[in-house]
Amino acid sequence: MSRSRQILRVARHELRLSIADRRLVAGVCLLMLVTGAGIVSGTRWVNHQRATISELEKDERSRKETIRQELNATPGQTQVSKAMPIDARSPAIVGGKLGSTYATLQPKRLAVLAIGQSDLLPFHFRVSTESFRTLIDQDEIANPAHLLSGRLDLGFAVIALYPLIILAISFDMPAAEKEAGTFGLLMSQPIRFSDLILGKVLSRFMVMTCCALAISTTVIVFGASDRGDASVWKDWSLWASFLILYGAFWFALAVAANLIGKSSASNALMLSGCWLTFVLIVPAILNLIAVSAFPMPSRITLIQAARQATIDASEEGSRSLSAFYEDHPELAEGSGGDVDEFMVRSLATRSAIDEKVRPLIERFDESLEQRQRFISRARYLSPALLAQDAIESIAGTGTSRHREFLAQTKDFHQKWQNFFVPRIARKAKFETRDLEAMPQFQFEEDRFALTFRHLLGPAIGLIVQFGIVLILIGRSIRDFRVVG
Amino acid sequence: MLVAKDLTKKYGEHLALDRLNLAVLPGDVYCLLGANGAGKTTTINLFLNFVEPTAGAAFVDGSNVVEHPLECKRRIAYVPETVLLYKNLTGLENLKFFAEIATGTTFTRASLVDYLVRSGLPEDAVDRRISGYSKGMRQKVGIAIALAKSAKALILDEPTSGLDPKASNEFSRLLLDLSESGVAILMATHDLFRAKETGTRIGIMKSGVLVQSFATSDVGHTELESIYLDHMSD
Repeated sequence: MSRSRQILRVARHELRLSIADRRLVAGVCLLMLVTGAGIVSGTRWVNHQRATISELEKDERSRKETIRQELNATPGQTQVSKAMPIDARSPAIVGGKLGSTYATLQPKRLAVLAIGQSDLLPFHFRVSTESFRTLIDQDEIANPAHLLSGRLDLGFAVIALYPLIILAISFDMPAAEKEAGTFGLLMSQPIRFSDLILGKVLSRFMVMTCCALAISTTVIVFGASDRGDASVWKDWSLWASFLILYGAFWFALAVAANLIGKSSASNALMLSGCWLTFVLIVPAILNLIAVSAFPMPSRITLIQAARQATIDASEEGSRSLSAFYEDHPELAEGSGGDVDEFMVRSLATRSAIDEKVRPLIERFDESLEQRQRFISRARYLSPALLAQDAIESIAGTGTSRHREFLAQTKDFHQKWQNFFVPRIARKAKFETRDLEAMPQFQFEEDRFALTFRHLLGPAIGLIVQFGIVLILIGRSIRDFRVVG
Repeated sequence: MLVAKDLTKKYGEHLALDRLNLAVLPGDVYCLLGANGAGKTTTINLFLNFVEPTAGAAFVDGSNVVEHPLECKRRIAYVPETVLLYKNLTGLENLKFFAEIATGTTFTRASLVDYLVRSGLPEDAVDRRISGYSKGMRQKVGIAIALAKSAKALILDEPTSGLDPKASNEFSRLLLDLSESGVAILMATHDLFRAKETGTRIGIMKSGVLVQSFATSDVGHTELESIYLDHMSD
């Protein structure tokens, strides 16, 4: 009598019972509904991002064209107005708002599956010679609780609802048999108790996993424009792997509770507590610790510091300009009119402000970095945090990819400054060849390749947690008694 | 076929079964009589390996139930006091599941219907949901499982409890048929009348001890009752 066949018999029987019972059907319907809504929400958000980026690119092209026309026009035809200067020959003007460019972060192919916090984090910055500050709302690290208040997406359905549905259909596996009175008759048959449990889990696991995978595959097949690309399917297989691993953890937890608990009611209570703990309480506590242990300067503090620095720099006036040329002697050449002089003074003032504000920003960045490191280590306490981290990394909507975007944007801003500041300081005239040589931002996905390294941590963490529950199951199964 | 050797079970300080020795041979119908808490159900649970003995051993067809639990369960069919099946499935579907789990083989519909009819279930009831079955009908499905299993031993716990006289009589006839085919039957019961009618041997249990054991043919109905009451009043 083959064990695998016995397990399959139980699985088939469970499926028949579950369909008759309608609980599994209800669970699957709920999952399909929520994941379907999540996909719609995700698709809308991604389409919004793409449309926004497209509009920004269109705007940039339009302005560049205006600059090109200005540069190609005869000198007498340029439009110079003190009220609204659009002198395309002034590098300060071009490097400022007129010629500003956008650093954009295109959503990745699987972004529709998990919005994550991408709706809270900016996906485009305007880069110009103005100061670049990224003091955005990153003071609370990834918390599944955010997902509860943010946009509904498949990521939320997977992290928060998927475990709930799993627990709802699994909390009374042997307990239901005992309470229905069929357990004695069943265990008097030549079947191992472990095989019985395995068969019960298998039917539920197969149904739930197939549903979740079916939804995400449908999205790829019908939604992704580059579904023929092998790397889309590579990302999809990573997504599927984490979905299966995360689901396996919760099924294992349900089995453990069934073995430890005495009744289906006590199992339900225990498992609800586990869900609350792993999905809400632990992440909330970790955030609280992170915020308390690594306090960051507030945005108000930064704004006030910037204002004070502006006042100080204005008062310092020409001292700022002299100090600027002292720091950059190679730029102290060329002569220009009042506008050029004003622009250089403005540049010097901005530089002085940046200098005063830099320590505050560095403190902010350092605290943020410390918080990120803390959460990066502490996330192993919650399978929900690990799964969220992995899923958002695969979808490209996690904070890691966004931090890389910020880093590349900062680098690009510096590149922009390096291009324009010398021209402004030398009071040089902007020409067509300069327009063609202007830096262009392109997010280097290669610098943030979805390497094994990004997912290894969450994968190992989930496997270890799954393993711990399996050990608990192993011990409990030995002590499990059919009666008494 | 079913042998208990100094079979003992303690739950903490409470001695539920004290050095039970009995043997149920093929064709025997051994009826265990006793009040509630006498140790009858504990004996059954030990033969089914639902609990492990504190001392001694239980054997099924020569195999120790603790050392070879699956082997022993292949040879035993068990009918609990209340046969509760899966209420959303039909009688046939229930039998199919248990029979396949019990034997590891697949059964045709015809063979399953045959087992149910042989157990006394009306043929028009086989495709009805268990939720519409009476206790007697569910009992018959339990017997059908035993038939499908071709078990060498049958263990029953209070099988006639809650059955009307007609159903109880039908049940007894089934047991006799099985006994005649060589199945060893161990039955825990309060029903003195049915024990005398159906049983070949009787064992009286009290406070975990088998106080007396004798052949059914050695006593009449009245004598049996008298012996039983004497032990219960001690």
